[in-house]
Amino acid sequence: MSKVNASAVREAIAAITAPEKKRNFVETIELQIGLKNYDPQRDKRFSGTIKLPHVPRPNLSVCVLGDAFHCDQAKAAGMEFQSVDDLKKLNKNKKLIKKLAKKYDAFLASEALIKQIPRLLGPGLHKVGKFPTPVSHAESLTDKANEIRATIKFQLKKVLCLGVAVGHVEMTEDQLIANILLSVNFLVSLLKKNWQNVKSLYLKSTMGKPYRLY
Amino acid sequence: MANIDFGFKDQYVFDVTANSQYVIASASDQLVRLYDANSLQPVTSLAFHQKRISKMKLYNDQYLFTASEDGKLARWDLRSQSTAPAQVFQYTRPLSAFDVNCNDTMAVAGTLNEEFVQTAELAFFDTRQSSLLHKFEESHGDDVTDIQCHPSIPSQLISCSTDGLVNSYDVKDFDEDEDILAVINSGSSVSKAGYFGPDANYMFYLTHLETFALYTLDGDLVCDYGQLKNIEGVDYAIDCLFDQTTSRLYLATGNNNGDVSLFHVNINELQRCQVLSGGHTDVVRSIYWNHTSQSILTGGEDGKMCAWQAVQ
Repeated sequence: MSKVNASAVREAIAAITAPEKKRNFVETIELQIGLKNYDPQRDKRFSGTIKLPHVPRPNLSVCVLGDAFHCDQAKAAGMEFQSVDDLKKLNKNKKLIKKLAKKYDAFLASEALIKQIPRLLGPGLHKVGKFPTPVSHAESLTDKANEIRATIKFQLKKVLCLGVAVGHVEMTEDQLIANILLSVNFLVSLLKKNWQNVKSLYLKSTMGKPYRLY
Repeated sequence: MANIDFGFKDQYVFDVTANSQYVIASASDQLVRLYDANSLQPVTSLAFHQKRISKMKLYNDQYLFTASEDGKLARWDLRSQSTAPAQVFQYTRPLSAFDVNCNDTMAVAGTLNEEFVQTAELAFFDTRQSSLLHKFEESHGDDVTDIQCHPSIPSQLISCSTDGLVNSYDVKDFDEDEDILAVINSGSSVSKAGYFGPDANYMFYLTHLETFALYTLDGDLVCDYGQLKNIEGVDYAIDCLFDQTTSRLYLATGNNNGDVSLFHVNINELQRCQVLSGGHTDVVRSIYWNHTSQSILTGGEDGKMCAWQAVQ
């Protein structure tokens, strides 16, 4: 982070993770980027995903839509799963599909199965942004699920501020720094004018106040 | 290389195209400008849209279409002297993408996802009546960024979105639950997608993170070229273009200095075939390539449109 003061980051993290009010949930830590010299009406879209080194949202529930091989693997790993037959039983019933879509935060689907998803489920997972990520037999289901948990979406819309989840209050300082460093460098590299497009950087927990990094 | 400077230093050129009479550009001031194809002298401006022109496409030598965030899709007759649209399709949501099918019976427009509505729509219009045929409200969870109709099958099309999906459809019966043929999840945010191949059996997509991949229409990966910024002199993709006559696929890319690099797209290899430099000085947003005349047009954020000759 060429322009960000390392000690400012550590101070912010320390303040944010210092036990204050006890919450009954683990607060997410968000990086807020204020942009300048960028016009959302004219400039190219700023949208995509970043995979962070440390999982910022460990509680993301993932369901495997698996072929026989992956269903066995999921069972052994203690992961939730649905087989082709389970999906066929839904009979393309919209209410049941909606229920399935609501039950989990994300889906993995065996490569062999993913081409059948439109026929089995219709567009039921599209609108909620949960169309499955393909997984091959060579890949580990738990690794792939963690990959999904470590991937965050970002998109700048009309306002010149972007919020990106970079961690949670129970992560270590080193983990948070790694995530913040990667996020900042990656997002800045996407901007046409790089640091000239960045007005400010703040770090904040869900319920806490923002701390300025830049 | 000829350089058409708009003289509007603060405007961006968005889309560029040309027919036999005119060279045409849409810009960030909501105007579509027509220039004489031979002299490159300005002929007229089409003022109609009240909000950003999200896309402009030439349908054939006679018709031009523009779609805008003002909710309108307009058809322009380039052979008439009128500066008003020949036909307007009105929709209730801002339009961010569109295409017209191969036999000019249907126009499909995609919308932005707006906070209060939380959905992006695909609107299907009957071009013979200007009426709405149907709409799909579930196929995308976020802004529709591109739509391409099949080159020979009037009921088939591809759409893509910032939700990361590329969907291909056959809408013979407008049943959203049954009409999706295949879905590719890019895992990112898709900016462009389209058909290619002599029989249009393949599709490509480009993401906002500047990655590029080719798939079969069924959804099997053909080649993933990964991060285009890893190529020397490339900062972003402009477009992917298929030349029907030679069956060659090209990738047009640019850098932040305004240099354009054109690549042959081969399996597992992008082969640079031409560089267009000395024209633009800022991000290039669009390219038009006429493979018959081998002329190329580019438009960019420097407010310029440049005309080039392709090397063969």
